[in-house]
Amino acid sequence: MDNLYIRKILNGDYSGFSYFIDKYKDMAYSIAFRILNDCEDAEEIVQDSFLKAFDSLKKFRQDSKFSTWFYRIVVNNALTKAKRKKLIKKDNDFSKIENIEVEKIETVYSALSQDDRKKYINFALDKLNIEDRLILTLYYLNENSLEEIVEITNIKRENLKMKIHRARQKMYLILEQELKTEVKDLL
Amino acid sequence: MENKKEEEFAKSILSNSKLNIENADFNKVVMNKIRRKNRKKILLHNLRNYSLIFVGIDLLIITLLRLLNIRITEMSGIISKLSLESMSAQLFLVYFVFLIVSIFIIVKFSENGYLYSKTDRFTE
Repeated sequence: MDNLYIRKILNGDYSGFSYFIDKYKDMAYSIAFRILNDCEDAEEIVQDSFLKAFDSLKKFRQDSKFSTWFYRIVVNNALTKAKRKKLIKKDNDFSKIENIEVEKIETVYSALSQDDRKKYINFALDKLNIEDRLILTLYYLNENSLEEIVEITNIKRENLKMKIHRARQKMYLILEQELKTEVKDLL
Repeated sequence: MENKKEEEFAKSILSNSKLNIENADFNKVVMNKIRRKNRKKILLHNLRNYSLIFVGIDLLIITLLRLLNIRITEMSGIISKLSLESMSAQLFLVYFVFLIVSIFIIVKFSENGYLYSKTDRFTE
């Protein structure tokens, strides 16, 4: 379907571009927000990325999915902005990530209301560094393959699996610490 | 097995982290920007073509006048004081500057390529 609309746009019917906006805006926004942590900045980046994608559509070789190519533009734009705003910081100390009891977290987490779940997961993501937030979002939320994540983020393929594992463990650690009171109540 | 379970749990908790753009006019805003950009592009494209035709015709006239050895020296007014050589030199200069400025503007406005950074972008 994407290719059909790309052909349409390249043949001069640029109104077909609204199909891409409808389809990808929310995921692009999620990615940009996870990098920038600011609603307005993220929305601006998504707008800018759509304009860049429209301008560069002729150069899109279609050897990858449109979404992969587009998310790469979003990530590049958002990272440039994050660097300009000096948002890229050193990682927190996550030395205890090997001793996490995921089952306990799962029990407590499943007892939470939907709103609380959102609150806790956003809090946990907020504590992670940009790279971890980004790869978790791409891998678990958008369900991108490892190859697609390599293409979007430029992270080396051989490091990616380990990075995903570590990011996941870090997220569990933060959740474990945050849910401690709930864990105590339950046990 | 445990790893798979952890993966499934991560997927289920991260499904709660999806965000939506709340601006209802987002689509309209982007499409309007695209329309404006497109109009500007067409305008610049036409401007470039017309300027090239304009400059080309002028250069052709000057070359023809020189080739046919036509001298414009007995005219009245200010122009009568100018020889054809000095006029053509001035015209050449004016159009050369004009051409350089137009090319610069056109190139500046039509830069639509997207650069992909190959460096490690997660470190300062």
